[in-house]
Amino acid sequence: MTPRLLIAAASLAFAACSLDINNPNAATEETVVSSAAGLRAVAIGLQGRFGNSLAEAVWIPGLMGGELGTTNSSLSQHREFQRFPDASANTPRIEPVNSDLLNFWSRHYLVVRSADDVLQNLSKVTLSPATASAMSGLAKGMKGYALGTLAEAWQQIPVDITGTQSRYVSRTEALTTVLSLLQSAQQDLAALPSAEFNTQVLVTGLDLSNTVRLWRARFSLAAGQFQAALTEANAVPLNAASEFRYSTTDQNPLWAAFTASRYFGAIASFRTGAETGDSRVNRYTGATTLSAFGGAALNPLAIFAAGGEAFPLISQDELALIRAEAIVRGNLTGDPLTHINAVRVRAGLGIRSTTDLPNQTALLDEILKQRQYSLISTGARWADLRRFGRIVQARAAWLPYPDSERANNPNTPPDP
Amino acid sequence: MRCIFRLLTALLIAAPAAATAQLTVRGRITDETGRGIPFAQVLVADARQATSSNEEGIYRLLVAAPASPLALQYRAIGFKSRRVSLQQTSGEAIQDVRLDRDVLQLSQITVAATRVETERAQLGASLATINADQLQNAAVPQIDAALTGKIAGALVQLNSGTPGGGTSVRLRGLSTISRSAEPLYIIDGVIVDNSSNQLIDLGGYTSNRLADLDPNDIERIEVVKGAAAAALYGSRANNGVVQIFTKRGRSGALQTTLRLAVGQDAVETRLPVNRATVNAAGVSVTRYDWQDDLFQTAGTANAQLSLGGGDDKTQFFLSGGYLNQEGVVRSTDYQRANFRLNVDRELTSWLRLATTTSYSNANASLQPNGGLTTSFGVLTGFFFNSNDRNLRRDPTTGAWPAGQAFSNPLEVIANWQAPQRVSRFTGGTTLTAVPIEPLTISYRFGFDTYADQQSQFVPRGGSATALVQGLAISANLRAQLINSDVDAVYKWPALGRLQLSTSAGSNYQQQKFDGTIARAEDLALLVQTVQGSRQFASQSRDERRILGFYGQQQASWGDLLTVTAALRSDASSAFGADVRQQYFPKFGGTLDISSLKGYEEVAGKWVNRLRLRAGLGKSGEQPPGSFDRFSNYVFESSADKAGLVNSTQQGNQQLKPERARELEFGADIELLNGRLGVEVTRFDKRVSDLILPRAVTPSSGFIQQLANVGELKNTGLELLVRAFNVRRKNLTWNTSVTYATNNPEVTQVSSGGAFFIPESFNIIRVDKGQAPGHFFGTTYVRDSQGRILNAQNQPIADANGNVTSIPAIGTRKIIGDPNPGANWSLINEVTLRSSWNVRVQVDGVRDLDLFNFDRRLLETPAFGVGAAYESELTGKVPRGYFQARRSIFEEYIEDGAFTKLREVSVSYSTPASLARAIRARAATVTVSGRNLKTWTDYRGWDPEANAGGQRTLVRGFGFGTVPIPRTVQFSINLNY
Repeated sequence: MTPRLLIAAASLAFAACSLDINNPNAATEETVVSSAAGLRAVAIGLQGRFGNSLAEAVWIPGLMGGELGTTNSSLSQHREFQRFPDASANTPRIEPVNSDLLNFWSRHYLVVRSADDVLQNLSKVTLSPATASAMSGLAKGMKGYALGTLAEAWQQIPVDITGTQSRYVSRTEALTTVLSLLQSAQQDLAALPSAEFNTQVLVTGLDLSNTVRLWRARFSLAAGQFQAALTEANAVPLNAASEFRYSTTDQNPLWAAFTASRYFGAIASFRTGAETGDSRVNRYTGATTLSAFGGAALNPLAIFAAGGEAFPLISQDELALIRAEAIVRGNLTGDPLTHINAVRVRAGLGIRSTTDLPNQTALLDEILKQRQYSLISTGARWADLRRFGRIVQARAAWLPYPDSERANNPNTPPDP
Repeated sequence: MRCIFRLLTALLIAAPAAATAQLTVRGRITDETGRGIPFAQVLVADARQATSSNEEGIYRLLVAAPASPLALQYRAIGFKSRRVSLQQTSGEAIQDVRLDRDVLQLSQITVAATRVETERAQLGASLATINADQLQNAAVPQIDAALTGKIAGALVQLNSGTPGGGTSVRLRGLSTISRSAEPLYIIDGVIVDNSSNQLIDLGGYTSNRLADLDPNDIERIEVVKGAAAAALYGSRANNGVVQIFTKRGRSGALQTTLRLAVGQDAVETRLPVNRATVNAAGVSVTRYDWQDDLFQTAGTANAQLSLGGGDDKTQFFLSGGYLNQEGVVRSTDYQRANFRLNVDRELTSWLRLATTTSYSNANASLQPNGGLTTSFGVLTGFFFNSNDRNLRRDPTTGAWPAGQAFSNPLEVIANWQAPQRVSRFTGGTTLTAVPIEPLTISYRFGFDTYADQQSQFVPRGGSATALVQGLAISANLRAQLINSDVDAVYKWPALGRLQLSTSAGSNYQQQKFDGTIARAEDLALLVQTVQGSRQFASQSRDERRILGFYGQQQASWGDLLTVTAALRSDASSAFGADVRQQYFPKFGGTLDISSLKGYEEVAGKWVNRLRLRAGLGKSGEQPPGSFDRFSNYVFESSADKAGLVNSTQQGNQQLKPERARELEFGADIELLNGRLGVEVTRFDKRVSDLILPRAVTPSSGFIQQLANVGELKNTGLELLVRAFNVRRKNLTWNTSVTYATNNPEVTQVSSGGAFFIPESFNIIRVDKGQAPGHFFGTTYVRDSQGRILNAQNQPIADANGNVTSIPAIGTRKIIGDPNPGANWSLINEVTLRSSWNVRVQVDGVRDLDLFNFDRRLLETPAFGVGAAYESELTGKVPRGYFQARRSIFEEYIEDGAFTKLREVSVSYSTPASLARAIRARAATVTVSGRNLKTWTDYRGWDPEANAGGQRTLVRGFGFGTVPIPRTVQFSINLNY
């Protein structure tokens, strides 16, 4: 026996030991996107990602729009977005490396990515036409929502992310894409009811059709398409309810940030500036004072009482105020006061007449004020300031682009 | 498995015939003073038959079919080997031999660098060996901790004083950024796991799994620092290799050794606390110093019984040990039981079997002390509770006061639990066959498996507000490692002075890890296990296989020149099929100038021996996760349904091993007639293809990707001086000095540039052109004279040096570097009349910075536990001074250089008559001390401890870390 022989023998013996080992912790791309079951799982994961994207889209616009403040000066990822103390030399810069800035950006693009996974592979797997159509509606709806939310925070955004260095488009172009996605989603969802989709894919509590209608109304308003905004808002029934549900183990991140950790509070002027008798004040905030960075007095947010509480996706107040705003801004047929008063009555306030709100300016002021109280901590405030021409009240008009985006995508525009 | 046993059968083919004639050689092997050398080896030149001497140096060797003349070789650790030729071929021959001390230890036989038994004199790359006698009085239950100061070029850092706490070993600096920098450990040929499994963050004192080994079982350690490791360990060798050999039985009478030790551990220093009689509001208060309630003087007890013996065919070594150790933090302790059986058997005249088996069971009761992701615990409780608060239990209500922030440390000691348990089996079998005379083939199978259970329990209704509903965590990790190796060595017949040896082999490794973690919150009252209203569980598995082949050719020209070249090919399942096959070459050469003709006359009087050596080798390192190259779809729950999403880490099928290229030059010089030896080595290690996370355009739906994007280098010098100062029959005095420098630099990071290390409080960063993992944080604003300025750009201190205003917070900059520039040790050993032995070791590190986060907390006004904060309460500094200063991290970077009186031991071997009185053959009594005194400017409990534990780049981080205790131990060793 010679060494060479032995090595040959050893090689033969070891040839049986495969070096290709499957990963038991995860599935591979090929197996997932090429099967109906895999694609259904991605459609479920897409909704999970949508749920994960909600938190930063609330508190960053909330801080930027000046309705929220931070309590912990050492958490610079929150503090940098805060409007207080404004105009002082101590206002920190929003660093491009800010981890929440990246989370806000990337979590919405993760929604887009999972939506694209569904949309690009639907035709390659065997699904019933009804299920395929509903899954397409889900993916387009959530992609449209994610891009629309990004378009309300960054001046330009990529809407097509199939390459590694996506092209940026203007806000107008982005909103056009958003609205066409949402419109197409509505068509897909209106096609055929799919029991398979409703039981196996759609998460419980989500009224997809009406949620997509609300989104379309919201972003139509942002795009100045008032008739579409009114039509879609009107199409949502008055009893429509839709929410993203959490559980005791997969907890609502806003409950953690607002209630458990008290990282954020509502600025005190929310309580002090309210009309007497406004029931929303005590529904959404507490009376105690939180110490705050920058000297702003804050009150605790009382929106979510428990970790398992759901995040509401449809607010009848928002729908009513979209209707009112669309009518006022678009000079459309209808009485904005009906919608404003519906909100006021729900809040325990007296109704307003044309004497109280005689002109467009007064109506818009009232709409903005009602939006402020009904939609606190939903992320709406910052975009409202922009739409109502009061962006000077905000921390800044737009966010800077995350550092890792700039470092890896040469198309990234300069920071505003 | 099938593939492994197929090999076994390949080995067991055809046996040559046995022979008949017999010769018994016996005698005594002594040193130059006439003392017997224990455990010296006697070999027949072809190395097939061998024995070793007993403790008195007496040996007996049975030679079957002796050649005439018969060449015998005598070897002992620390001595120059000697050849003796015998004419007698049968009956009994008496042969006494005297061996000379070897100050350079060049005759030492090593296997770690070449797998072939090779004298150090033939190695091009440096290799360090440590023998049991250098370790036995170290008074430390973990072997890696005992290595401190013993090896030039190895930085051994004790990360925690918790019993069973971890140790980091860095051979020639860091060779990686993203994964473990610990060397590969091999015990008796079994590749063992040395992970630091932090399944629960208790504050940086996770054990590294070498802690399962009983140091009393160790015979010898070989440390391959660099290039030489390449060919044998290929893609896992970037951090160097440590081979440990345990004791084996010797033929002859049964040797029974009983070792009993008791000791005491204590914390060396107490931090000065705030004694101000008022608080910040001017209200008078009572101040407390809780350190004596948190620390205790801890007792340790250790017993080991070993039996060794056998006949000419079979030898065994059996040992059992038990260690019981209290921790210096109250309510912590550690117990370890060890069992070992090593058996050697000559199956036929051409086939030997050697097996090794060991079982260990460790149980530890620990307590949390903060950590990098949590702040609850005992020592953190000391910092996070103002010391004007009485933390003691209310004597009437029995309730514990709540912690001011996080927990009340006294309640943690009383009620919290963190039991840890490791049960481990390690075993190996080596079959060595000599089918034809110059060819040796060996097959080795190694198996290492353990279950690591880590748990934590915080009772409901405790002192920590955030955990008032209780918390129970149970985390389990099962590990299984297998290695299966074939080595063949062929020693060619000598061609004049030219000697050639060829070796080749294969090496197969498989490792599997399976981890689960279960956590419950909102526990039912009195329930201690994972049962609560909110339950979480997850599991992760990892499996990797590596298949390697190597070939090595060694050529020697007499004693003058030895050249070695080797090539290894490795394929690991962690890499994609296209890049899987990797090649790692190695070259080494040594030139013994002193063996040149005429050297003796020219320089032999001054320099007795001069050897030059050089080595160049390449090696690799694998990614942390076995499945990192895949673009995975991972679980994402969505309210009531389980979905999949693309992992935010994008796959990379082109991922390759990290590759190190190491070049070293050195010289070994023997002076003063063998009384002084100097080893000096210069190394230059460059690591490329570092696997680092690279940010991916986040708008692509991915966040990062692992890629081979980084480069770093380590350059330094290693010096070892050994001197036999006095060498008389009644008195010997040896000194050894090590000094090693290293200058690490990250030469390339990914295009995104600098990045912060996760879980480092955003203060540790990697930058191109800097040492890896430097401190980066806020600074003072200073003027051109270096004076600290306030927000109005005025100096904060007046002309007399009194602080009158509050410092401004400056920008973030590089503020320190925790990588030591140098480490050193000085060891003196004196032996008197062969009955007294005194050993003193002093060692230290230089040129490094530490981050004293503890001090920042001590002077944070919200707690103000430290004495420094008094000055604000007494008005010596303006109000708000410390609140501002705590935001300036530069302030808390301190000089981390230290010198420690590491080991002092005095042993006394009783006269035989006294030993006989207790029916023992020999008895030794030892008093030893460890970490007795620290000299440092660092203002924390201990400059050595690190809240980052064994993490590669979270170094020098002082945050609630248990200091390394001062140990005093009394032990008695009885031989029967």
